[in-house]
Amino acid sequence: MIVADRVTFAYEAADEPVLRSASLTVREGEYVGLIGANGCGKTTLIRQLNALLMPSEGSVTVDGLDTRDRGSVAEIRRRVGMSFQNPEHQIVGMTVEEDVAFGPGNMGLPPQELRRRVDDALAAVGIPALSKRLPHTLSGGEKRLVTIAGVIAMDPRYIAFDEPSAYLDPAARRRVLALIRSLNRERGIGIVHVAHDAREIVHADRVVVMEAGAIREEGTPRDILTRRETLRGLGLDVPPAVEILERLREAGVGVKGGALTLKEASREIAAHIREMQPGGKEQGR
Amino acid sequence: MIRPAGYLARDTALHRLDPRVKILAVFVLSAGVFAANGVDALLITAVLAGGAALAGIGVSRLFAELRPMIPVIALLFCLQALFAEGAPVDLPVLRELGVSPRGIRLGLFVSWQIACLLTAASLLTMTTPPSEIVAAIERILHPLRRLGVPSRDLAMGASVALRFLPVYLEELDRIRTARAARGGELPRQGIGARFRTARMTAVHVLLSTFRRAGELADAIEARGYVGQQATTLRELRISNRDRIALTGLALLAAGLTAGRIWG
Repeated sequence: MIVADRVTFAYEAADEPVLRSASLTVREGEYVGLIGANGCGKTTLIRQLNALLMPSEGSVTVDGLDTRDRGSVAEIRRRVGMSFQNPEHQIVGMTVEEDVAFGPGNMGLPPQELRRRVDDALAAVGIPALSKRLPHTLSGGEKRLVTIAGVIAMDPRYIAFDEPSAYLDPAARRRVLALIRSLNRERGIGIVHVAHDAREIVHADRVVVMEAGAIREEGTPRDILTRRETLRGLGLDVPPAVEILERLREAGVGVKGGALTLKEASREIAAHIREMQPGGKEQGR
Repeated sequence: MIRPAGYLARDTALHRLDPRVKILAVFVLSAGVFAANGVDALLITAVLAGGAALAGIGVSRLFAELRPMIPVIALLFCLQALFAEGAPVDLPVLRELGVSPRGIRLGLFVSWQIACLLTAASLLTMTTPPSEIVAAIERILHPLRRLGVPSRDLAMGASVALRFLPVYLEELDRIRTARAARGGELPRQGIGARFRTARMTAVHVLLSTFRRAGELADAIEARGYVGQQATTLRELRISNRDRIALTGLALLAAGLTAGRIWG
């Protein structure tokens, strides 16, 4: 379990703290969505989780290891993988496979084990064919997949994704989001998913909302993401399903709220239409 | 722009040779090229030709690598031909210019030297991926770590530089295109305007480099970079083929040295 306990943090040059007593827990195998307006401290918070930054006050522990304990830093970084926003700036290898081997290589694994990890990670993200390619010849989506493979190859228990769909076209974005879900479900990796767009985290186990360096709300996606006014007040986009149902209700249509995805919303609307039709429910299947 | 010849992905005897052996060979041949004064020049040429044949690299491909250097070679040839001391040749214009047979011979020799050095380097870079060259340099420097040479950090720096070279070229291109799109690149610019343009570009690239360096450092740190004790996919191992090549190199070096002493 990762526990960030009342973390306050200020960058050295700044007077204003970026984080104000922010607490966040991530259980093993849990999928946590983290949203908030630009500059609210999401990125700063997840950088605390693998000791890239250390709290000025409060503490962060990963499976009981404190990030301020220098002796634990290597192990913490092995357990908590980090996927940064810009894929271009985190590929360091001269070829795809060398980049994927960079993390596990730093762990000092023998070459045969390295090879196994690299092949496994490239297969997991679905790009074994790219293994010998040079990074600058890849598309944005491919670069993103390479960086995720590089994290998987370290066999982490948790991965923090900082806006993983940034810089991607819609197809690549869907692919990356599906991959993150499968890493969580099939490999049991705990996920912290920093998102700009609430739609991306409707499948999360838990949603955490940040505002001005503090945790503002926390709950299931259905609790949090269906509250249109709250989301708007925080300057966040409302999931389209929520928006549609809310507008229908505003127009006096008696649909129930609570749908998160367009699939759920259309089911709710269809049910409502069936009820309205003469003969009622008998006509519906 | 002079840049190392691109790697040609193939599977030949020269490709399979350990990169350290190839680097050593480049050194031996370069030393030989500088020391050569007769028959040994033929020997070196033969070794290079043999290497090219082993790697399946044709004369035209090698010549393409030499082409950017032709003005330099031509200049050196002319300097030697014009200014080397010796009796001038008995031909109309050349006599007046003071061109001597000895000068021509020296000019040809210098041209040959440069061609050989470039060919040796090209054969290395064409048959060895950059990553292997970096790994080899790291291993060659490895024993110096006791003297405080951070071989792994140097190799890391070199590989990051190689990794981001194309990114910079793309960025320069992007800046140029963006400027041209806004009419900033007028055909007839004075020196002053060109200088200002270059300075603006430099500032832009420098700033983005610092930003990128910060992010890159975080990414490297997050992936547990610890310097010396890391492992890589490619373990360099000396095979029998390498032993044969090393023996050949030793014989070549011995032969060239002997030729220099007693020749």
